[in-house]
Amino acid sequence: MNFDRVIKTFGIALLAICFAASILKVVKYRFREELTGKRILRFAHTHLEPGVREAFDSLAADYMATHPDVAIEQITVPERIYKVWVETKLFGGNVPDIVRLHSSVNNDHLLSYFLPLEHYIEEPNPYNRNSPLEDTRWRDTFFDGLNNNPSYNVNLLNTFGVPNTIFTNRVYYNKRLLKQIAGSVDEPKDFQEFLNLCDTVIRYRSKVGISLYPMAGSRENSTAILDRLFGSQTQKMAPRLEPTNELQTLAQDSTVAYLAGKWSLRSPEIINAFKLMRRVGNFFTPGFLQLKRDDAIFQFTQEKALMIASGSYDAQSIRVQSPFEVGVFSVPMPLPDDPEYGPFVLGFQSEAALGGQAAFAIYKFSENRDLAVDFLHYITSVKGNTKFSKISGWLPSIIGIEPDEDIRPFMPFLGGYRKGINFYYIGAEPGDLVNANFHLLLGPDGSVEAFLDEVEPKMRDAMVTTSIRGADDVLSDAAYFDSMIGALYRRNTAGDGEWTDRISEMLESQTYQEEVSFYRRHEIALYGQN
Amino acid sequence: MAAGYEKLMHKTVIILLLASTALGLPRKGLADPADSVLQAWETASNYRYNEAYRAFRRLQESDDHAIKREAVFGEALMLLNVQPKTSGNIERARQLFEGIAGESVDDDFSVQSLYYIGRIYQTHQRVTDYESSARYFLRAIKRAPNHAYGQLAVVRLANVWLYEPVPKAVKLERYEQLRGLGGNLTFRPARRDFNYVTGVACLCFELSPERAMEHLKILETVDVHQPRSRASLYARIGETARKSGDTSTARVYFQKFLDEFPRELQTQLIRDRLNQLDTQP
Repeated sequence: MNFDRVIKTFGIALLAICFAASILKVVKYRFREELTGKRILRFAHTHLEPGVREAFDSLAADYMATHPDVAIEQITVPERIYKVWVETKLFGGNVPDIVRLHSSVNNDHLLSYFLPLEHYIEEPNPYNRNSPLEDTRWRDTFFDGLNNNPSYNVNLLNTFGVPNTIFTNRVYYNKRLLKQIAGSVDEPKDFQEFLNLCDTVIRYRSKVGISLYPMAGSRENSTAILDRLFGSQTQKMAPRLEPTNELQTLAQDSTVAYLAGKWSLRSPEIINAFKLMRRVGNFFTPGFLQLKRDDAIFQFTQEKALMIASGSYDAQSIRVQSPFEVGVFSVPMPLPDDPEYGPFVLGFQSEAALGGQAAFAIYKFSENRDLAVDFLHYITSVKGNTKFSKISGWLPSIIGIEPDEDIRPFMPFLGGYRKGINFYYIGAEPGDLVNANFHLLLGPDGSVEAFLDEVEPKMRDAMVTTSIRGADDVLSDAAYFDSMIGALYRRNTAGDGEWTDRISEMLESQTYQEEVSFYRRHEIALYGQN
Repeated sequence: MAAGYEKLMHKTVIILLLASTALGLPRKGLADPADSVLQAWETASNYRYNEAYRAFRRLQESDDHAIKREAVFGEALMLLNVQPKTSGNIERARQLFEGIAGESVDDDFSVQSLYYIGRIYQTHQRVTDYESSARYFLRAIKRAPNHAYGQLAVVRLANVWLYEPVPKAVKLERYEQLRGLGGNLTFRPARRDFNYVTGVACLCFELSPERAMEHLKILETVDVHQPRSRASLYARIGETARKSGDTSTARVYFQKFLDEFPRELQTQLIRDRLNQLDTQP
C-alpha cells in the first residue's frame, strides 16, 4: 500500500516537475529578450545542405561579437514543408525577421508582408568600407545587379530580397569508376564524347554484370540536363517566334506562336529535341521521374551511377557523402558542328542571366527591421560573403570574390547564347503533359512517335490554358498598381513629396506587362479555338 | 499650513492633467481632415489598400464637400484593389467614379474618374469590354486633353483599340486616329508608353515597320527606366532596321546594345548580327 502511494506520489511529482520545466522553458523562450536584455533577430531558410547552416552560424557569431546587444537565431525548415510553414507564420503574425524568398512566397505575400528594398539597395553597403566595393551601390555589388527573380519581382517592380549565392548546374562524376570503366579520368570534351562515355558504361555493365547506370536520376536532377539539351535544339527557332524583333523569346511568345501554328510538335527542331531526350533519358536510372533529389545522390554515392547532373548547391553534399574522388564538368551540349544534333544549335548556352539564390527578404512588420537590414548588409559584404562561400562551398553572390578552387568549375559561363524554348519553361500545363508521358519516350518500347501520338492531341488545350492563365495573372498584377499610381499622383499634386519618377516607373511596367498580355489575349481569341 | 498647500498643489496638478487629457482626447478625433486625407493617401502608397479604404470611408463623414469628394474618390480607387477583390467591389467603384465624373466639377478627380472607369472595363473585370473602356478613355481625353490622366487615357486607348481582335483594316484606321491623338503628348510617361504600345503593335500586327521605327526612335528619347526595356528597345530597332535593309541604323543600335549591355542573353546573337553586317558589302 505504502509502495503504491510512493509510486503515485512519485508519478505526480514527476509530472509536476516536467510540467514546471516545460513552463519554465516556454517562459524562458518567450521572454528571452527581456531575460537576456538582447534584441533577438531570427532568420529562416530551407538550406539544409552541409556547410550552409555552419556558414550562417559563423556569420551570425561574427556579427554578435561586434553587436553584443544582439542575439541571432537561425531557423532551418525542410523545403517540402516550407510553403505551409511560411504561410502559417504569415497568417499567424509570428514571422521571423528575415525569411528566405521561395517560389511559395507569391506576389500577394510579397506585397502584404515583405519590405521593398528599393531605397536601401541604392546606397553603398556600409560593411564594404575599405574594400574595392566601398563606394558601389549595394545592388551593384551583386553578380546579377539584383535584376532577376527571386530578388527582383518584375511584376511588382521592386526588389524584395538579397541573395547569398548563385546556382549553376554541372555534371559530377566518380573519378575512380571512370578510370575503371574508360581506362582514364579524362572528362568528355564534347557532346559526342559524352554520349560515347554513356554507351561505354552500358557496355561495361553488360560485360561485368553489375547494376550500374551512366547517370543517377530524379525528376530534378534529370531536368538539370534535359532542360538545357531540349533548349539547345530550339535556339535557332526561338527568335523567329517573337513578333517584335526583340531577339529574345518569352514563354508567352512561344505559347501564342504555337497556337498560331508557327511551330508544332512535328517541327524538325522539336522532333530532334525529343530524339535527344530519348537518347539521353535512357542513360538515367530506371524510374527516375518518380525519384527525389536525395534518391539520386544516394545512387551516385553508392556507385550505382557514374555521373549525376545537379546544381552547385549539392557540391558539398555530394563530396562529403562520396567515398571516392568526385570530378565536375560542364553539362555537355551539342554544338553547331555536331553531326547529329548540331543543325538547330546556335552555340554554347549562356549563364549570364542567372538570378542570385538563397535570397533573404525582411518581414515588413518586424520590430527589428533596421537590424535585419544591417545583418543582411553584413552577410552580403565582401568579407561576409567570402566567408559564406568558403564555409558553405557555394559560389559567392558578390562580385570580385575569388571562389575556392573546389567551386571554380561552377562559375557561370557568361558568353554564349540564350537557350531556346522548352516545355517546362513555357508553362505548367504543357510541362505536366510532357512529364506525364515522358516514359513513352524511353526504354526499348518507347519512341518519339509513341510519345507524340499521345501528347500532340492534348497539347493545344494545354497551351490555351497556360496562355489564358498567364495573361490573366499578369493583368491582375498590373492592375494592382492603379490604386498606387492614383495615390502617388495625389500626393504629388498635394505637395506631399516628389513621386514623379516612381509613378513613371510604375506606368512603364504596367504598360509593358499589359501590352504582352493583351497581345496574348488577341492571339488566343484568333487561334485558341479548335 | 504647509500640508494644506501641498494638498492644494496636488489637486491643481491632477486637475491640470485631467483637463489636458480632456482637451487632448477630442483633438485626436478632430484632426485636420486635409491632413487625414493625405495620411490616407500615404497609407495607400504603402500598399495598405484595405486600411486606406477604411480611412476614406471615415472621411466621408466630413461636412467639407471638397474633402468628401476626395474621400469618395479615394474609396473608389482603393476598392479596385481591396482584398479580397470581388466583382461587387469593382462595380461599387465604378458607380462611385460615375458619380464623381457626373458632378459638374472640373477637377483632377473628374478626369481621373473617367480614366479609371475605362481601366475597370479594360483590366479590372474578368473579361475586357473593349468598347466601353475605349468610350471612357475617349471621354477622359476629350474632357482634359492636357491633363496627365487625359494623356494616359491615350495610351490605354491605343492598347484597347490596337489589341482588340478586329480585322487589320480596322486596326489601320484606328492607328491613324491614334497618331493624331498621340502626336502632341506632353506628359513624358504618356509619351513614352504611347510610342511603346503603338510601335510594338505596328510590329505585332504587321501594320507598318516604318511607323514602328518612328515610334521606337521617339521612345528612345523619352525616359525608359528599366535597363531591360532599354536593351529590348535597342535590339528591336536594330533588328527591325536590319530586316528592312537599313544596315547603318542596324549597326548603330546593335553597337549601342553591345556597349551598354555586354552581359545580356541576347549579347552574343547581336554580336553575330553585327559581324554579319560588317562583312556585308
